[in-house]
Amino acid sequence: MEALTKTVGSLQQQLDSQKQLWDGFHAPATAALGGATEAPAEPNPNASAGSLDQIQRDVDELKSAQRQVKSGLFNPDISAAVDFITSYSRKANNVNFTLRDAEVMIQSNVDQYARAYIVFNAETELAPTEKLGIFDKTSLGVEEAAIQTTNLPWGLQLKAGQFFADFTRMDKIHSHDLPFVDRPRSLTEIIGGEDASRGFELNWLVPMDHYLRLTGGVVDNIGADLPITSTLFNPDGSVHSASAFNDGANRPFQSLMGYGRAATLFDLGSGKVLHLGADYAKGSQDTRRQIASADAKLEWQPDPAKYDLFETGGEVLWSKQSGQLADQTLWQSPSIESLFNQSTGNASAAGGYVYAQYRFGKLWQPGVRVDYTHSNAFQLLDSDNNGDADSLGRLTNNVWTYSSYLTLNLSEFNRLRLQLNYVNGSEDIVPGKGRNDIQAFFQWTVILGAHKHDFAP
Amino acid sequence: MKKRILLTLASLLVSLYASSTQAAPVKVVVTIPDLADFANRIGGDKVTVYAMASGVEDPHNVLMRPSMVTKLAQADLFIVMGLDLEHAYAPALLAESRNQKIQVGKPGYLDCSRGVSVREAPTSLDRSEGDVHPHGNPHYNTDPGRMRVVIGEIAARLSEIDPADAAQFQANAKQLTAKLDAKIVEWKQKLAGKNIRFVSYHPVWPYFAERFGVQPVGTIQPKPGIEPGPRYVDELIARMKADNIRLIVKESFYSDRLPKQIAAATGARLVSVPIQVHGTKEATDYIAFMDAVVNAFAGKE
Repeated sequence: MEALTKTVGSLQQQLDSQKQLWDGFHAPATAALGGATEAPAEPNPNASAGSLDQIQRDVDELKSAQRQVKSGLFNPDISAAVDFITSYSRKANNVNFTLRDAEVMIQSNVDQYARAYIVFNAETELAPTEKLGIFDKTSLGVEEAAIQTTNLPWGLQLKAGQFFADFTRMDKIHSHDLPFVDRPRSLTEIIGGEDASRGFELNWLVPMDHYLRLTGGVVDNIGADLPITSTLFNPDGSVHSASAFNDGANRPFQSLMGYGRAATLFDLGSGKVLHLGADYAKGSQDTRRQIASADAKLEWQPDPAKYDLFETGGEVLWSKQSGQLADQTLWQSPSIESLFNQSTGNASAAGGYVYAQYRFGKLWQPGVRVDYTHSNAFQLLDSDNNGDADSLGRLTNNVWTYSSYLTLNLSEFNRLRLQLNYVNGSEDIVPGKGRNDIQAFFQWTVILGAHKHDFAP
Repeated sequence: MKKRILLTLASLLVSLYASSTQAAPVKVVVTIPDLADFANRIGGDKVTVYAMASGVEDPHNVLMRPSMVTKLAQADLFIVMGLDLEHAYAPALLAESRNQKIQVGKPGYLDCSRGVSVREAPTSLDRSEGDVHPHGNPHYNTDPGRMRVVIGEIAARLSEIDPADAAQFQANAKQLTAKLDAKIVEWKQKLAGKNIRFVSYHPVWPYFAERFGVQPVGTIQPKPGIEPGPRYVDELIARMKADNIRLIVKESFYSDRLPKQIAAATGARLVSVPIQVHGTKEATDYIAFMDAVVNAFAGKE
């Protein structure tokens, strides 16, 4: 017992001495201050010079062992998101269980010049009025894969690859990160879903006291799906599978889409921050497409000592598309020109949304949103009701969507949301079933792994 | 006339030269006001200091503001507490600043946790354990002993960036450390022999407890960052009664509701305590902040 006590005592002494040394090694910068350790240090009388040398060697060995870098430490950061939606449309009498996003993001610095990220997503973007077949499976695709510089001078940053373009405020946000369940109809119809693009993007943080970020890009297109201006409606109001415009056999330089965004922010004091942005995009040649938008967001933290946060914002958008109408659109006809006496045309859309939400503490966040979308698109007409399209007309629709939603943030990584939409259009919302609809959503979103917050004005 | 113009031009040139040879202050951006207090005291008129957090908020939950990006874009030195205390805002803002001088690993980036011994580093990582900090508890600013090391780190880094004023930085740091040492003795005396056992809202106090011998016995949050359910609150009340825990420490930014309910049920004294400088009105600088903390723990004499 006595021997054991002695051994424990000796070990304790060694531990104390080692701790002192360790503290010294951990605080090299303090040496200049005559040893500003964590506590006004008292020398350990039990630490002899010999034992200190031995401990010094042990610590050196330990430190060199720690310096051996394991190859796994260079593995990129991996995170994932699962976004499950239950939606219901009253007029369509349709319930969908949808795995909207099953997303995996991998990102890392490449070297001192660049970082890169890849987003794989098994995605199903579906309106509540559309039926998801029970045997439909979500397939995995590359949603984004881009290389981004980290070391350009003058506040410049270049991105290349497939990415969500820095265009508009809300459309570059992944669906599961939106403040509401569904993407506002105006964004979906005017831009065509998320800002999916392929090409180059350069943005510049202007070196001045006021925050101003300018972005310019050249891409093949903006939007994941057909915008309303490219959509061709069937006589019954359903969407035809083909685009209204001729896509062309090749893509000359002139057909690329150029875009720009200016974003600025104002510290208004008292916890208020105002974000403003403006965007313009233009593509030409076969299909000339223009999009313009302006956006604003106000964040207000009424009491910084609490978690409450008020947020309101909105965007207005306008789009026009003109060009050669697709001659292959009409499956059996030689060309639209011969059938409709028209080879070119244009379609337009405009709209926007506003929303306001308030976060009470950490958990609850109710909000409301109003969206208005006006579209003037192409529609095939069957004036003699023989079942074949015989002329090309217009489908003009004005749709208001009123939404209320309630978010429950169970934690930073686990969120539940309920949303109710009342949709009212000048044309049928569900073909043949009336001009209004009530839609309900339940969303459950979780994030796994390394989660990073972006500063994306 | 010509002579007068020449003289004016010459004096203008001389004054321009003089102003250009005066070293511009080192632009320092820090995350929490504690670091701002130290940087100001060490740097004096040789630095300008901007703090991202106001001090009254939860340090994990700071609203990202545009001025933070522009300040970072122009900064010579960015000082963080580290240990993921600022993970919700600092990395994103740092990336957006595009300032190469202050990126992680560069001389303009100072992670103060480098030099302190860390407590509560988890042995395994699992999100079911709440908002776990993978590198250990980041609230080491509640230990003035560890903050002595931070003072040394800041002085050393400022000296690297501005060697011409290194002597002044070192002297200011020594003075500040001496003042802190005297206060540590005073604070220890104030808390000595009181056998303080307490429940806090969030696990903020392991460093303070280690320094001053007070004993944290539980938290109102069952896991870091997770709000409690009624069953947990009932169990906590029962445990506090059984163990005769007489103090509830509520970090100033948390709601009063539950702590008051628990205090009423147990008869424990409830105190609202800042966890950083400017966390409450009296916490005007680091010493005043620690005075407020120690007084709250010690209670009325």
